[in-house]
Amino acid sequence: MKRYQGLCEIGLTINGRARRVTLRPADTLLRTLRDTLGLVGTKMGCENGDCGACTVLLDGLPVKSCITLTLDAEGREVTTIEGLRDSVIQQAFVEAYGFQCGFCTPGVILNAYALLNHDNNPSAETMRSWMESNLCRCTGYEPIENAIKLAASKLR
Amino acid sequence: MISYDIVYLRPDSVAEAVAAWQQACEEGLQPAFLSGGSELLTAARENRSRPGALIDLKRIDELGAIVQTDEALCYGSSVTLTRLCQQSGFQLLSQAAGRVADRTVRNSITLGGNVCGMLPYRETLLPFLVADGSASIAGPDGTRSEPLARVFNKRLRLQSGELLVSLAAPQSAVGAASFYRRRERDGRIDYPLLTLCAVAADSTLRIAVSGVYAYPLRSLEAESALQAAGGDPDRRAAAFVEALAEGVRSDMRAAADYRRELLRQVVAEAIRELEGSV
Repeated sequence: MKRYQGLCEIGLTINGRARRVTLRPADTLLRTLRDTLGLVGTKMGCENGDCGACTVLLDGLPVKSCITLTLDAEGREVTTIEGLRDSVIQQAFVEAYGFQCGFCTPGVILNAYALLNHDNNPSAETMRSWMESNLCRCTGYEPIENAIKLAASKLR
Repeated sequence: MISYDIVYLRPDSVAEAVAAWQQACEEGLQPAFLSGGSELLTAARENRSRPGALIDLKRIDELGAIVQTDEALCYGSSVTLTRLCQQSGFQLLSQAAGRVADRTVRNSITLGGNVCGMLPYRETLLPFLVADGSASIAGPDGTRSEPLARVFNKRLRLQSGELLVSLAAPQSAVGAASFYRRRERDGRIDYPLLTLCAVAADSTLRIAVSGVYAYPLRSLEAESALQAAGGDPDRRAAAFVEALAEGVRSDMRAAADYRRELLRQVVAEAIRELEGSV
């Protein structure tokens, strides 16, 4: 049985790169990504698991990093928005005007990326059931849906 | 941010988890079992809960298994709700799991966390209540299997240091005709005013509800009243509601009278839909 207390050092794999971090066992993945590793593309919104701004992928599945302990990510593959640089999905959001202020965008893009890995031709219902995990207060959901449809068409 | 320090323990087996609890207690750490973490970590951040040690159950293989036998389907307490939606083999359970929180959070929330959590809804328990299911519970004295009717009363009655290993539903109930409805005030992602699961089994309707009381409920008295009432579905549904105990929730989402009427309507829907199966 593994036991962690006080300050401890663990290995993480983030965007395909091995990283060593020092943390408190109570640290959430959101805090470690932003405050320790400087990966500030992951946004802190509600810190309550509601808004989706902090969404990252853990072994390819979207999770809310504000309610995930960093220790949960040990031995697993973490993908943040920095890992999707120049990706098809990111470009589709630019082309389809799928963002406005951009605060929710990293979480939205990561969730959409996971969705399209799961189903590259999602129905409107499937898209809604995945994307309702992410709140957007300015762009509106239609441009986001359009961006995902554009990315899907490019990926097929 | 969680403002205080915790000790994090990651056991590899159920026996280790039980031993870890005892060890943490001996160290004065006030342990808690951690599964998906969505409730526990939020409560810790808000200082509503201050466990000194978290015993993470998610990497125990036994707790992540779904096992099918001729008699029952058995679900490990660390199975995520996303997995239950996709591959439970039990339609009612998939439906109930698929409406808790949002899709991303369901990748984290587990069956055990939902059933043993602090929130009053615990909707994934409802299919097991109507299935006359059972719970496997591990503790310092070993592992035992108990009918839910014996071990669930408003909440799962676990002793200190016990953990839920799995929930099982008999195949006879898994294959029975079933009914599911969930009603919210503001939208899909909201706590339910009412969630109702029903199955038609043994010539009767079994009904369990969440959101109506401060705990999930299956009332055998109300089911008997429904059965005895006869007549059209509205009349039988009214008899069901009439036979329920006092204490229906009244809060900012809905008044008790509203919840009772909603329940009456949904029970009538269940009767109409399952009538041919009883």
